[in-house]
Amino acid sequence: MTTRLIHLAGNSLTVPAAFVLTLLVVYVAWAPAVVTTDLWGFTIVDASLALAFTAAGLAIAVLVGGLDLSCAGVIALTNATVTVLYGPGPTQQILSVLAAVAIGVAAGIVNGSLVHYFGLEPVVVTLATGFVLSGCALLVLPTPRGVTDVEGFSVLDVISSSTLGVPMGLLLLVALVLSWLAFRRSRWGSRLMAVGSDAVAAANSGVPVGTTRILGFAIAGGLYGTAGVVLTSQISGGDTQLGAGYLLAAFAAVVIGGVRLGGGQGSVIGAVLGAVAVTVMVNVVFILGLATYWSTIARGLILVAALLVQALLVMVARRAQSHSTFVLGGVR
Amino acid sequence: MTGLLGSRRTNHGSSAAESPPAAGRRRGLLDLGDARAPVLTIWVALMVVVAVVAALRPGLLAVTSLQTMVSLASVTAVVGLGQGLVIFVGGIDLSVPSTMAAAAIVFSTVTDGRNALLLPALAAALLTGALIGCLNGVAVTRLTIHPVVTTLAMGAVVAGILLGWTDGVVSGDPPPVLGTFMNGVGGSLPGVIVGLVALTAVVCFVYRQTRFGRELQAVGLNPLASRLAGLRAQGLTAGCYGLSGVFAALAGVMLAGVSGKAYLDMGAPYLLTSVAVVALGGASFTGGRGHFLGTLGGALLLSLLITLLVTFQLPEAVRTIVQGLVILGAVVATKAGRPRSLLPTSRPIRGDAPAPTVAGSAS
Repeated sequence: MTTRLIHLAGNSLTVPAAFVLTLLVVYVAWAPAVVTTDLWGFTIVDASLALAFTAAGLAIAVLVGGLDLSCAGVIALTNATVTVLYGPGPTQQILSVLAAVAIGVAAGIVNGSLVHYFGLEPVVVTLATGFVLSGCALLVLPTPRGVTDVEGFSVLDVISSSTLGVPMGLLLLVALVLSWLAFRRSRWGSRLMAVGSDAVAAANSGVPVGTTRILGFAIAGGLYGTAGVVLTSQISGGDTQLGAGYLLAAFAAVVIGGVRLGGGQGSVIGAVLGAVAVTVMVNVVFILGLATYWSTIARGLILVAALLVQALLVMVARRAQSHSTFVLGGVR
Repeated sequence: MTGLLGSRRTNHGSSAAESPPAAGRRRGLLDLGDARAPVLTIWVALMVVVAVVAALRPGLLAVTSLQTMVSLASVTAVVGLGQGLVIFVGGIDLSVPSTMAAAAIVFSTVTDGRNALLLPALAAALLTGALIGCLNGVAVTRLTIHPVVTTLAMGAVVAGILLGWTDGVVSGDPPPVLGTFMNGVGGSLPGVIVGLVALTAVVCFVYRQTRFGRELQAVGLNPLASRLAGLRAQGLTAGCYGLSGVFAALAGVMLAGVSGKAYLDMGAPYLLTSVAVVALGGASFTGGRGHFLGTLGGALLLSLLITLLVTFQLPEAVRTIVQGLVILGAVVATKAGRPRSLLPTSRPIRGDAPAPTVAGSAS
């Protein structure tokens, strides 16, 4: 029994999967009417798509050993940029999408370089760059507006469409998960995890710590940029206020997803599951008839709850093993 | 550092006699430790900016506009004092905006414009802040939840509760006497400026001359060593979060006095500002370095810069960008010239002999 528990605790996907299942059961039990074909396609996949990309990016930044508070700023700026640049013709559309991703990657490279070359705390660097990006977003798009209407083919419409009952969002999620699996097994994936768990040991083993760290932040930024594109597609417009909400939700998703905040342990799949859990929870709050402010409170509380569950699992695992390490609580 | 850890007496003259101070260190009330150079830098920078302003916009240096600037800076300085304490022990407090709004709303609701209820309302507001801060502190130290996550979640929970409680509309006003204290009447010196000077003196005294201040420095410099030396490192760390809550609450009340009302997102700009002034003051974000004099200088400088930007008729977005860049510039400047480390969270051990030159260290 104990060994099985330890094994489960060791698998970082147990907690997020349990969270998603529990919340889904509550959701469906409370309102059986929601079980339609729309449940999977619309309520769960589409609603959590932007958050899933944000959480995936944050997970990679956390895995390489840094907390990234700039995701809200990147989403706000890319949302604004796509809204302003979007127009008729596939070339312009694809260019505007690529510009958004490029902005995210560039922001990530700046974050990673500042963290690495100056030895700065990721929290304070990304807090500052996040505010700089939000300010830029306000300059690009001072007031919320819709995307220019496009006749015929439109890239943004494709993202929120569905073919033969399969939502495009689901395909994007599958693509995200598959790319993570491929990346995790590649040389750079191993380096990412090595730097996240112990940068000094990784450097001594010949891992290029700086490049790996900057790469991690760059991928994270690119994924936030993608989230900005997805957000623009779903609301068909730009609003610089919307990005701010993603910071807390992405942290909740990453923590539920079992990604260790110190780095080096966890998976993007967990973060995606965490994003789904957060989205379902917002729906549960809605279906319980609670006022909207409860969803903010609930997001904060679920974050703490997920941490407590993780701490409990770690405690179970550690109790089974011997108490050999002296852990200084709290103060890093 | 033995003198620092070994002495429990407030009379530091005799403790200095027992264990000689480290070479080249002054040990007076104004001994800023490692923060001396950045604190001096920020005050020199402040003087330079004042000179620039005097050249560009001499009107800004009139007595009335200076008073407004300083009373706004005092709000920032008080939040920065709490934020600086948390950063000194290696954490960060992202729940500051919600705490400020919570305290201001509690304060306004209790007083509802009556001067007589000023003190009870202030007590209620500060208790609110203390409660939020202590919950943060317990979560960080006892439950070992990361400070960023703890305070982010706490901020969201408090903001949600405020929205639910007030329904978005705050009933009640701060009493007029508070407005007089913050803004002054007819060009007289606002009481808050006197208060700020007094607060600075008290903080400098507590930091150097009391047991709490010295234990705090020990914990900030090296939590593990201070714990092994018998200090209650966890309790002190939790206490810093509690104090951050109290000072954020005080700043919230002061801000309500300046603007004459309390509203839900009144604290929103102060997350960035509080971190910015601590960064400007030369604090280290891994903990163990920083002083309130630096934060105060940072608050005055930032207040002056923002007022200058306002006169150029730039949009608010530019102000946000400038503040973000100021944080980046300040942290880069304090790090430049120090040896680069592989781990951004690594904590240099102080009090040792000067580190030998390592290959790859910056010159």
